[in-house]
Amino acid sequence: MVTQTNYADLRLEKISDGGSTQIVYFPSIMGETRGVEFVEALASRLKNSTVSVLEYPGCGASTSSSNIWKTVHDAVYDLGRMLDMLSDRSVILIGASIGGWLAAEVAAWYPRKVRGLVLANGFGLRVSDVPAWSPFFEKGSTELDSAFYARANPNRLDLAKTLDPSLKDEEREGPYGLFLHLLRVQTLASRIGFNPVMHDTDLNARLKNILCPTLILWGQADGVLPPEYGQAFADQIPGAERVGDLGSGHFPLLEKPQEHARTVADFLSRLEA
Amino acid sequence: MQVFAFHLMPWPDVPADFPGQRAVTIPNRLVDRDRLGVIINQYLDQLVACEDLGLDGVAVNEHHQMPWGLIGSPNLAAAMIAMRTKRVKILVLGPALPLYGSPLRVAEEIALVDQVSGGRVIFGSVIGGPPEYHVAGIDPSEARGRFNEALDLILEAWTRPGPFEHYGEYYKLQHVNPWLLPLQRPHPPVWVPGAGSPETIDMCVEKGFTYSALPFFAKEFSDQSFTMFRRKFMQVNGQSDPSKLSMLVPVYVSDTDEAARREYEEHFFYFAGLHGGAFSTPGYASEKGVVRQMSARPAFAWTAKDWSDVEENAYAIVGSPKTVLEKLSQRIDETGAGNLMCMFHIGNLPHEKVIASTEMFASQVLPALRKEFPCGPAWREA
Repeated sequence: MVTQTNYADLRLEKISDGGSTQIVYFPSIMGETRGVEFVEALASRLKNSTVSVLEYPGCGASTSSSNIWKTVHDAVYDLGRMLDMLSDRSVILIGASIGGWLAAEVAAWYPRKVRGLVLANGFGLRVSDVPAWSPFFEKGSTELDSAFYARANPNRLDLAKTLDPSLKDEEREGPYGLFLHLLRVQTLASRIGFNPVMHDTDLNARLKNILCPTLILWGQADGVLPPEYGQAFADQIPGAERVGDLGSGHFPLLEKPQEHARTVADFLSRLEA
Repeated sequence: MQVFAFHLMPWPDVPADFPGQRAVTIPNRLVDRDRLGVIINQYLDQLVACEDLGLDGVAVNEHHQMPWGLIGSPNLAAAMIAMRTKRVKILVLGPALPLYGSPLRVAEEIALVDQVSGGRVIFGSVIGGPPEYHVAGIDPSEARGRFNEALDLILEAWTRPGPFEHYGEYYKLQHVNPWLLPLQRPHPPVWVPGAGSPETIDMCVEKGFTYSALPFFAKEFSDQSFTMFRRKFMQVNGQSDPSKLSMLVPVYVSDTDEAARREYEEHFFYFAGLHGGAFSTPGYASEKGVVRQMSARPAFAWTAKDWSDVEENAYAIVGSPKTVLEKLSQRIDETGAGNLMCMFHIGNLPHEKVIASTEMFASQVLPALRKEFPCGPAWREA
């Protein structure tokens, strides 16, 4: 079951409708929004929850322009309004890659709106002397044969296949559909994270404001955001649990969807208990 | 027909086998600081020499952190040329407007050069190349918006009595009131380079700017841009105007075709090897423009495999005076451009060869070009 609803100019795709506990997935820099095995597996494990996927403005089926976000703070403000409209209760956020950055920001700015947080290889921080690889450098994140994906996807997961359900029909029919899909997400990323590149210099200090239980899940073979970045989140977020996935790269939730759906479901079940 | 000399001002000694990108991050230890000034002075000499040789103008541009082009400030280079010349037009083809903090600084610097040169400036406003956004840390998805707003503001600052306020999307200025205004009224001519994006062509036609088709694309692709411009121009204005179109091409003249190629080829391929590489700039071009480039799959000067590739795609026009005249006449006819920018220096071509080639061009090619195109080429659409 997939339905779409617009909240505060943002579009959510509802994957399941199981109850009042709202779980929202913020996609990676590849903008995976449909047919995401991790999200579907999680929804089937958490039957009492309602699971949705965020469409970034200007991307996928969103009817908003990426121009509505000029800085990461615009994004945080809109996402906060979206959570207000989505539920009277606090919600659970799961964010991967750029989605991890946004989820961490929202949880730090609006600690009472978020009751559980899962970050998987999230951007957002800068660790001194440990270079992160920019999604804008060289061919960047718009072409799957780029140095970015060589670093992000060391196990050579078939990303084109993974992303295919997320393409719009018109994108899938054209020869440059995948490129344009990735370009749109990258443009959105550029709006909030071209400089300073994919981080917020104040986020590190703000992470201590997060009140909810947090799981940091990190693909340790990520050549874009090395494990020190996962450790930096874990060090700053009070009480955060850290799970290292030794084999995965930047997209652990896409590489091992069933395994991580189980890990995340277990974490969230403990939280509800 | 106006003929200009254009200069990239590259660094001439990057080892061919040096690994990695050729821009932004290529280490600056490769530059010899003791030679830098000597080389740049030679480059300026090459442009200044064009005044006595009878060319109509000279052109400088802006690049940052790359051996491809050393001139970080075209406005400063233009000021130096203004002080050493009396007649030639000075085409400032930078400045890259989105990279400057305040557009008013550009307005004042261009006005300063226009005043001290006696009104010889052509204001070529550019959006800047992809690597420049990585150097400046400016979000490329803002490039077009910043460029349009900055250009409008500069023209307004030159033509509207101040003080007035400007509160735009990117620039907020409570007091716009520059005293340093250009000599030319209402303002210096405006040229805008483009790579065939429909938005840039539309803007140039609508606002009366000269469209300067970016060089180094294969002939087939750049011809499409020229055609798009001419059609749009005719559609809006009902008549042709070659002065609103400009083409840029590397040119080298020697005694014979064989000698020209022998003296030039290695320097062309050094130049081709300087190209910076890919730099992702999301939102820099419109999706339409990106798709057009991807579907056309244009070849570039830096992808040329061998000399026949260079000749076939007109990446450079090289030969005896007779050959260069024939080939240039053909390109001018094909493009409809009433402004020709010749890049006499390329890559690491030695100074004396640049001067000799420019002199041969001026004495044996230029007079015939002027005779053949007294008012620029006729447009086939007209």
